[in-house]
Amino acid sequence: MSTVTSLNELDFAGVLPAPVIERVSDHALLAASETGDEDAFAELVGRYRNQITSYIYRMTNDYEGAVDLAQETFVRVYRAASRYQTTHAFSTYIYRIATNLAISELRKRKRRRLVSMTGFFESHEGKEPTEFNPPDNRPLQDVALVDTERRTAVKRAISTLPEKYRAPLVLRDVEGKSYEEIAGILRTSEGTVKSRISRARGFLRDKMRNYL
Amino acid sequence: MKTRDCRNTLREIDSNELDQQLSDKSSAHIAGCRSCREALHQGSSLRRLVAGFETVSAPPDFDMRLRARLAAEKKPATAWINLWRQAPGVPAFALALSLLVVGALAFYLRPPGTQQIAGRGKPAVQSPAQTGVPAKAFPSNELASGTQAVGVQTGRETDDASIPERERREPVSGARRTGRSTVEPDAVAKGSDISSREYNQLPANLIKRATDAGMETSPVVSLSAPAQPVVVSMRDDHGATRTISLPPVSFGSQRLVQPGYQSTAMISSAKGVW
Repeated sequence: MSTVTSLNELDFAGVLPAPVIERVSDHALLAASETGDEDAFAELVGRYRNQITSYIYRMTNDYEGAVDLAQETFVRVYRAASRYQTTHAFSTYIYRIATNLAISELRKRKRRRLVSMTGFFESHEGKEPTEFNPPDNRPLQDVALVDTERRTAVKRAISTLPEKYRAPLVLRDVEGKSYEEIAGILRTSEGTVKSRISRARGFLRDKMRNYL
Repeated sequence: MKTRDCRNTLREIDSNELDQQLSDKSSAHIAGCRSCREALHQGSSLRRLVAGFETVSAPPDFDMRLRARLAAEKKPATAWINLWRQAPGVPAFALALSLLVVGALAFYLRPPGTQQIAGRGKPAVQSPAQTGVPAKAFPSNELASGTQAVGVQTGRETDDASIPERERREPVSGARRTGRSTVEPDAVAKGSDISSREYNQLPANLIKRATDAGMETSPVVSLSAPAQPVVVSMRDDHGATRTISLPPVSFGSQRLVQPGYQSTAMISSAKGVW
């Protein structure tokens, strides 16, 4: 006579049927949300909320503003669900909306003169305001501290890039999108995307020379 | 000093991906060029640094705020519809509104000059020839001798046949009880064929001289008030009889036309006759 000493021995997995998990496509979820299925739209939001928030945050370097713009992105997706065309991937579609919102926000900030007081210095080529970021030649104290400092410097350097260079750089190097997808999001050619990314990396390297 | 090879190599470094190998020409150049080697190192470090950015998560209340935002955008468009749906007595309100509209339409679309109440068959005002009621049927309207008496057509002088027998015997008491009609209330309640009129919407009654030819049989009323108090005997529905004495009412002018009457105020007034 055998005795059961633990629940693992009961082997429920062999008795109970395995749950059927189907990955519904984004198109299907959007079509369902168009008909009033709130769960479908909630699933869609769950898939993209972190990506969109993170992307807009990298573009604007402002977390609260990024959250607001991410919500505005989903609101626009919900409102324009009936006009959505399935010729492009949904991720391209939603990233395009987020990009437009982020660029609009950056332009608003520029009009409002909300650049920092250190932004009076201009770069050599783009005539864009650049951060006054003098090199720190003091000896390194801690590796973690240095790493944090470098990341902060990179964020600042990215935020000083012109919009047309910033968006493809973030999409490629931070979000990991393909050139084709970036071209679809920015509605430009792949050659233009590659060129802009190359220029953006050159700008960054020049700005970060003392931190690398 | 940057040569053309250096520029091409730097462009290739910036264009390549992290794990992508450079071309043989650039690799050979980097092996002999220190600045390009440093640029390759910096570019790789920078790309790793940028790629190492952690994904920023949305706040926990992101969904809730988004739902509230969507609900707030929906509300203005459907506010009236929701209000209509949530109203407690919508069917009753609709029924009352439709009844009100029907009533208003019936009121405004009725023929002009209609003086009948719905359901009543006969006109409210009839000609004296139609009525045929003698002047003596109204004791209080007896003509005073020597005065100008006029005949007044009123609603209560219509259709003698429709007046019940008891009403014909006691016209004054019935008139006093109803105020505007000599018809018994119970007779009205029984739906008898009795007409009435609305005095607020009709022109003034036609007043004719009683002395004109052909008007002798019409009901007349004197404009001169009686000199003596009028005693009215009324009997209510329970059979109790009440007697009311009405003093004569005069506005002065009536006394002036009466022969042989002179007021003391008239005599003593030096400015005129009042």
